Amino acid sequence: MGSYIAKRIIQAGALLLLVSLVAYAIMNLAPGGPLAVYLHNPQVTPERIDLLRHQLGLDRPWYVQYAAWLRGLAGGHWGDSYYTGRPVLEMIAERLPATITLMLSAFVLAMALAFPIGALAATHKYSWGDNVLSFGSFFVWAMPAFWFGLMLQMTFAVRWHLLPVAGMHEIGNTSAGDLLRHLVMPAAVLGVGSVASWSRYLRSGMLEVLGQDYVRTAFAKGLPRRRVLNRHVLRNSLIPIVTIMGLDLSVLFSGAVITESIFGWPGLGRLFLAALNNRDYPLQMAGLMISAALLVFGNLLADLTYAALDPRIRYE
Amino acid sequence: MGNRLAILALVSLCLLSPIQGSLAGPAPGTFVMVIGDNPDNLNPYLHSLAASSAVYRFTFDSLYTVNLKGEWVPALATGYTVSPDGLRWTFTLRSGVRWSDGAPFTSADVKFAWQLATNRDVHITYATGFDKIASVETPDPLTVVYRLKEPYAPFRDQVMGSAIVPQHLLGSLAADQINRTPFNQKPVGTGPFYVSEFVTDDHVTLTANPSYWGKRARLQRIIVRIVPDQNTQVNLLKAGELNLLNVPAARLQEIARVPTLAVKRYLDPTYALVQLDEYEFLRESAVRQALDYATPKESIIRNVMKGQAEPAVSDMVPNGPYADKRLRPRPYDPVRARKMLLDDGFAPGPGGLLYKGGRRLDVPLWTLSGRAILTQAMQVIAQSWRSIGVNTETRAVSAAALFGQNGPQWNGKDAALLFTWGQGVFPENKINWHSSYIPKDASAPGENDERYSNPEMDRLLDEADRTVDEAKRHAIYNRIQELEFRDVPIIFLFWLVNNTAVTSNVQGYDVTTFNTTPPEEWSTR
Repeated sequence: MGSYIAKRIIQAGALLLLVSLVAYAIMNLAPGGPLAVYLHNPQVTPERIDLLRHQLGLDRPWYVQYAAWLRGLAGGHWGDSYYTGRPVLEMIAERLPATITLMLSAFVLAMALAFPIGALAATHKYSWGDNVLSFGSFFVWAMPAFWFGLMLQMTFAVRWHLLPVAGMHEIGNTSAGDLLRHLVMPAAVLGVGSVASWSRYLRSGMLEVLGQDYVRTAFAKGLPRRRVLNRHVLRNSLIPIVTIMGLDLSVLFSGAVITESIFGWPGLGRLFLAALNNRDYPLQMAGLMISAALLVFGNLLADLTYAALDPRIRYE
Repeated sequence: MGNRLAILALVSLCLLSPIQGSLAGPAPGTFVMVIGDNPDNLNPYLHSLAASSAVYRFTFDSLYTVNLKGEWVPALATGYTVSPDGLRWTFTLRSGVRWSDGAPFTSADVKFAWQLATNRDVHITYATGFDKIASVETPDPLTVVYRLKEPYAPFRDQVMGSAIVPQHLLGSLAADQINRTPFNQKPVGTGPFYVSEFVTDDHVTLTANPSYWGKRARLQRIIVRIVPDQNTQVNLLKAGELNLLNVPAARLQEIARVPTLAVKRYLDPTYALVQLDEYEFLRESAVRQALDYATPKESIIRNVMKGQAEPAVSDMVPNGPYADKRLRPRPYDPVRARKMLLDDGFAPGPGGLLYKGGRRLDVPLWTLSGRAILTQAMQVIAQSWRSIGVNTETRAVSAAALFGQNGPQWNGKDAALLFTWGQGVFPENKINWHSSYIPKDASAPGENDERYSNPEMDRLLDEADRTVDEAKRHAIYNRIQELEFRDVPIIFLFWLVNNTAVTSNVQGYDVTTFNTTPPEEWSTR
């Protein structure tokens, strides 16, 4: 198991290196650049733009810039933002807690809702309840996050004054209760897509397992229904869900870009969106690499979880 | 099961029950506004985003400032004189002014602002006009003498209105340290408020500066929230969490119906234009004039802008001191436009399009993607141009693609580009029209991308720079506007209109094209 994990980590490292090279090349080949924000700004002279280009090292070929970035990364320095002049790592560390809080809340919320919904739909297949849940799942799956977010704001904040419209805290109030109230809507918007997809996967997984001989045997032996469902059906249906959940880590991270923008949540998503808009290369690369790492390591985590769920699976 | 339901109900109750004060709107003495971007840098010379200036305007002062009517009024200076040759500008500084950290403000700070703006090792963005200064003398702590390299009338608009930054905090730092100093997030200024808290991507709290040289601020604090989504900003306003918002046109009617909000309408010194890149047929002024006649500006203002724009006829803001009030936009007259082209030698060819010398009159129209008003205006204009026989294809692309080296400006073919230009309220426009500012490529100096060249215009622009006498300057700019109108280097479409909603409990706040009332006069009941 240990050698398997080490092998996978080395593979992941190589993959991430390749991703960084391709991303850096594409980023530099795209029209515009970090100084495009000054284009057609009457207050910034072209001479000044030229000077900035030189100061930021943007007048060097992209592969030279990439090599410098990679050297910095190896030395633990992810570069400085072109716009704030601050170290990228420092800026990420500042916003990481907000994003982790949001992602974790959405993840927990999605699990808390998706599992009962999926199980209920599977155990009552084709019933009135199953049809309603299926329709609901497809509806929220198809619903654009920004629209759902704005609807929640207009209902719970503007009309009923029950929740704050946006932000992470009231100014000057850092209590847990205040944080929770600010979390409700963004976590719901970020997690609702996962509730829909995970519950659908769980339903179909459980339906497949429910038709297996060993489940029929368990019922025939007279085991209680709840025990059969929990011990035999649910556990054996989890493998595809775990894969999806692992991969969804990066989906949640990218989803946070939209959710954080709608709800003014001060997290990494907004930081990286601004970096993309401004072509702040060092920050942009950091965002891309974190997203790629989440995908790669989420996948690895899912693979390792298989072994825990299914004793037949062994990694050598 | 019953227990679970009870817990769920309890948690829901905790989350959904309103907490006294938290959702009751801003506290008394607190004014809340919003910006869309995180301020990148609160040093006025190092920032790149408008969000930054929206914050640092409360913390810094300039020698003079502009009032609601667009007039220069004293701020850190109490008066100034200009030598007859226009080369020597002497300012008398206000006494008793202190920085928000208590240090005294002196002429050394004014000199330092120039040294900073011209420091080539610092990531300076805004330094226009400072390069015209040969030296700055400080004969005493309250006198500053600027000596210019050449007479330069826009000096007043560009340097006199620039923020002064503290020498005692930044003067001893190396260039690289200035680029990264914590001052850039928590600056020290002489303004009515100082930054007491900056939570990245969340809010900036500005607290009243007790040592401010002017009237003590009536507000205790201004909170600038950072929320990127415009719809969310409107929801914040409607939920009572904001005092002030520049309302997007799409939601104006909805906001106008809210009884606790007052909407203030004013002209934004930004105009929309169609730039005509003069490579082939567009080099002929008759063709450019014909396209101007064939551009339905009134219809665009009415139908696309929903009335939230004013007609434009030159690059001088219509309610500003330099606008030539005699000029009127060309009326929409496609019949006359087509006749002008026929008189110019064009003849109808296949598909009803116009040809001259065997070549078709192709004027592709480009604009920026992501701005609905521009793409809609583009379609309206293209349809009209096609109706007079111009072959007009339309394309909406990113700013980098539109203005970059691979964009339509550098392929050597006629093209028309629709975008907005933040002219501001001052008349300096040499970079737009002077032939020496025709750039050779996308990274070269100059904004005369339309490649307009007229010796009379060049001479007038040079003269305007050298003429300090206001009356003479006005006459020069009137002639410049006549040439803009006659030659049509660009088609002026409209000036944008802003609509700022303010809650009814706010007093002392007003806004015009030129400025707001001083923030120290704002209050909330």
